[in-house]
Amino acid sequence: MALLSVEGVIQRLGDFELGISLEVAPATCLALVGPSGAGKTSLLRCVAGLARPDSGRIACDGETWTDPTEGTFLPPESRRCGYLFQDYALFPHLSAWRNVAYALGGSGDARRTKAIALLDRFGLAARADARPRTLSGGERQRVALARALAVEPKTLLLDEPLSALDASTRGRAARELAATIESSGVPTLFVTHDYEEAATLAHEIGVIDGGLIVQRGSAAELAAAPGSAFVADLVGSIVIAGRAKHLGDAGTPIALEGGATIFTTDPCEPGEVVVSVHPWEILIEPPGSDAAGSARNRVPATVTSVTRLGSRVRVGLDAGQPLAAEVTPQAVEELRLAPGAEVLAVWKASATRVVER
Amino acid sequence: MTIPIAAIFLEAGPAELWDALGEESTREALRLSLVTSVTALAIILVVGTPAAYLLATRDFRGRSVAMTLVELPLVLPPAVAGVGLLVALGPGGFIGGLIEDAGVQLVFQTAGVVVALTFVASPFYLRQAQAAFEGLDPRWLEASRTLGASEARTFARVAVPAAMPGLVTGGALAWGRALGEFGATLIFAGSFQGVTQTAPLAIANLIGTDLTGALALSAVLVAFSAALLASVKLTARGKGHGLAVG
Repeated sequence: MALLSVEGVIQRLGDFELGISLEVAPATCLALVGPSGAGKTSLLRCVAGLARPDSGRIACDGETWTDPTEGTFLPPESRRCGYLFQDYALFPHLSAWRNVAYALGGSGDARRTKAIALLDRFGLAARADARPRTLSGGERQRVALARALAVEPKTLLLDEPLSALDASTRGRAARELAATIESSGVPTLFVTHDYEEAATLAHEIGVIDGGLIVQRGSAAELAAAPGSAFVADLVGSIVIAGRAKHLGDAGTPIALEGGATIFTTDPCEPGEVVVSVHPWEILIEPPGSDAAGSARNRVPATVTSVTRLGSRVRVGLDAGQPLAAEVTPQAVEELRLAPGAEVLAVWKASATRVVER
Repeated sequence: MTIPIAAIFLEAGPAELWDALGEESTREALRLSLVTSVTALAIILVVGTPAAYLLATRDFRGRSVAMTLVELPLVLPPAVAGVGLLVALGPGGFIGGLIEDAGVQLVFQTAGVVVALTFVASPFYLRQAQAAFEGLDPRWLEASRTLGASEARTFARVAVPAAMPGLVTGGALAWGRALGEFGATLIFAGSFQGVTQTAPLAIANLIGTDLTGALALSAVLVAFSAALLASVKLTARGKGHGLAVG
């Protein structure tokens, strides 16, 4: 059972402390998402043996890698971690195949054949003799991945694997990476500041805030029930602040900072609260229109921006606090939505999540 | 800047210079310069490369003190360096006694020339090599470790090849400095023809009696320095390993 486990690893970084416990099962991918400087890379370095945590135990495949209490520290070259560095860290003085062959045993032709077979898995056999600086970003990423697999890793560690790529190559790279993680069968830990990247690649997502994992779950679980305003912000739902009153028969009324009152079906204590709504739950209606459907929350707002996102349009709204709605291009045309237009933002009480402040 | 250099070649005709190089003493001085400077360079490369790597990649207490000490010979007047070597390694010096007991003679010996050249020229290499190692992306070294290579293998297979242009430059500078060394050698090893009289010392010796011979030796040293400089420029231009990215 090739489980990767990190127990109570504490790493002090200046005046900031990282404290992580996690387990990753074989053939599973856990993404840790958090802002830059949250100590995510430090955690990967501890797992790979490139850094020593101040305390805590790291084990993989039944073998203890780091345990300061026992004085155990396996050097990085004995851990067989497939580490994909943020900007890939290919050796500049070696060709693509020699980069891959660096970790391979054997000699001469057998070694080259093996390296080229690995490159071929990523469609790069033809670029075997190219130096890293002549490769494109996407090609570099694939060479680095082939090189990481050459150690026959017991775990894959990925540091922002897609962030160095431009938008046009990210899609393909993400699909290939997902397939690689799937077929490797080892526990995969990857860190990123990009929630979308995590949601695309990982089975599970752990959100890091202030050096701790504050919530762990699937992408859908996080979006449906964000545990804090930080998580809600990260997964892309909008977050607004208000003051909850006593429960009425139509749900809990919340007086928003900015004037309007909305309702939520979530139970909550009276007092300061934060509510989250997914932008795609919010409809836009002309000002002064009567309540026609079942949506109970009707907040007057001014359009501040209109941004096309593929087949949808994200409309920025000001209702005393920033809001956002996602609507169809037709709706934008029919309602003549443009910055400055007065509208009503409308959504259901049941789409209104109350989260911890 | 070029006037003194041009003057060396214009003062006497090429034929005269060539003839002067045929003299036994001149040839011996050149041979000695070559042997001692190459030996010193070899010592500097073998000891200095790992030392520069450790200085560049390790953080240890006293690192800045170590770096200052390493660079001290750069600003030390060569004559002072010679006096220092004499007092330390000469007979009765505090290490000299030990060396003598081991049966090694340095003062007024060819080996002493090598010691003086190594002492004076090593900082030129160490500084360049350290800068070259510091310029490497630390992730290359870390990647090497995660790919199963020990520290020693990482040094040999990644750090040295990736830093090669800087190491070549440093080696060339140190060699150039060793070839031109005068003061420390004169004081520590003396100026004995065929034993310690290197080309610069021979020039000083000839200048009063045989100007043409001095000019011929000078011309050879100028030509060699120019060739070294050109090779440094060429490696600098050809260092397209993407090192600037690091």
